[in-house]
Amino acid sequence: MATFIDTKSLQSSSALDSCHLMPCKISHDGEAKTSNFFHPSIKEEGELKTGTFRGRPLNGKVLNVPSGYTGVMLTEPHKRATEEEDRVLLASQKFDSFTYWNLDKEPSSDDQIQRALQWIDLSAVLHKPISPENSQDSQESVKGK
Amino acid sequence: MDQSDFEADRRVNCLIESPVCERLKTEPCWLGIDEAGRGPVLGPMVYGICFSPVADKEKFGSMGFADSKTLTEEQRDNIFSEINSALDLLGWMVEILSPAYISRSMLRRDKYNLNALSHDCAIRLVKTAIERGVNVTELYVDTVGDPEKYQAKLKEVFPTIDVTVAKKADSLYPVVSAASICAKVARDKAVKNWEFQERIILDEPNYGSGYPGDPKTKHFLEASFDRVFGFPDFVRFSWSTAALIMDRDGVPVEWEDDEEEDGVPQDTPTVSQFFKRKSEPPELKQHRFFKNRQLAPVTSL
Repeated sequence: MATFIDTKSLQSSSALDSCHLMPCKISHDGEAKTSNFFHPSIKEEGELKTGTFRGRPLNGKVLNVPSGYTGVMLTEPHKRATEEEDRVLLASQKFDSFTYWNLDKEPSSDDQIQRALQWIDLSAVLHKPISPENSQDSQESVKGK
Repeated sequence: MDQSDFEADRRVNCLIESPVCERLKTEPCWLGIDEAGRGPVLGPMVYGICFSPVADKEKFGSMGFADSKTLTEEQRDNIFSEINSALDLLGWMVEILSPAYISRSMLRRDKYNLNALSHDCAIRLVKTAIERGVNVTELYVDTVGDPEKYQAKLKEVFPTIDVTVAKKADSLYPVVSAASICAKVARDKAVKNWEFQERIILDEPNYGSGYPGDPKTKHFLEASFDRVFGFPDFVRFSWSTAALIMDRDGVPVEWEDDEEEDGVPQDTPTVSQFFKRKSEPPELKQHRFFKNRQLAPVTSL
């Protein structure tokens, strides 16, 4: 199976100014009164934030999408019936930064989302075209081992 | 009672205190502790303490303090003004525990229960009084939970103070009655002046006693309910009344620390599986670097 992402609807839209990654699964798809309920609960101390959702304590931090990349919100209009079928996801919104929230735990570099973003640097190194000079370096470092 | 600090941010706790006169620092004092608004699903819980010289117990007793529950709101307000005109004889402090604080504490990963929270608040207040120089020698407390355990806990924190934990202490000891009046006056005022930062518009501004059985409170809970967020932070989310409404009428929400349905992991392998002949070549597995980070390949954009 393969996964396809349809980004057509992103061409014209502008980036969201506020985007939150919650530490829980909320079975709701649509509008919500975030500015009445969620935003007033947020307090900032330096780069760390605290907030609450349904009375539970959250700790958050703003993460920027690495330059050269775009954050996108995905929806799946048609759920596939079997694991073998291809998935088609629709990119509905884009963002340059977002706040990710942990449940009652201060954000750290151990958090899954921060670790996931490490791949971007790693993949850049792995996929960098090999030019004559730096291929020399890597040959040596392999020999050195 | 000036509650402007609490009104500036109703999501955090707030300490309000009377001045402490010189006598309370030099003479041995008895100190009473009581709380108001422990049961309601709405609004803050308030802890109050009152303290006065042991030598003036009789004079203090003649001021006519009684358990705050037996008094009307007006009587309590009058007694509270009397308290404030007798600051050469006594001092008081209250801590307003905001409902958002109560919800956050009780809904943490490791739950902080209401008894522990109450005990800690009472201890904090006594410590603050001592820090202000009050010479506390006797402590009287209305019990929360098992009186013997509570007594032992207080005795451990305050080894040099004579501790009495009793049921109905608020009607037995006038110093506890006075503390209960301070707490109740603070709670009533905080509830009465509550402003909703959630911009909720109520058809019925009266939310009753705050006890789950009160029809007005029930009506308020239903009227202020939001399917996604639940309630305004005036409501204690950790109360079963609130949790039941969220389960029944709210959008389902799953947290990573939700209890497993039946406790037994679904995919525990049986012993025989390890001895099976492997007939098919193992499928190509994703490296755990990607698994740990929940990264999956996308083949086409």
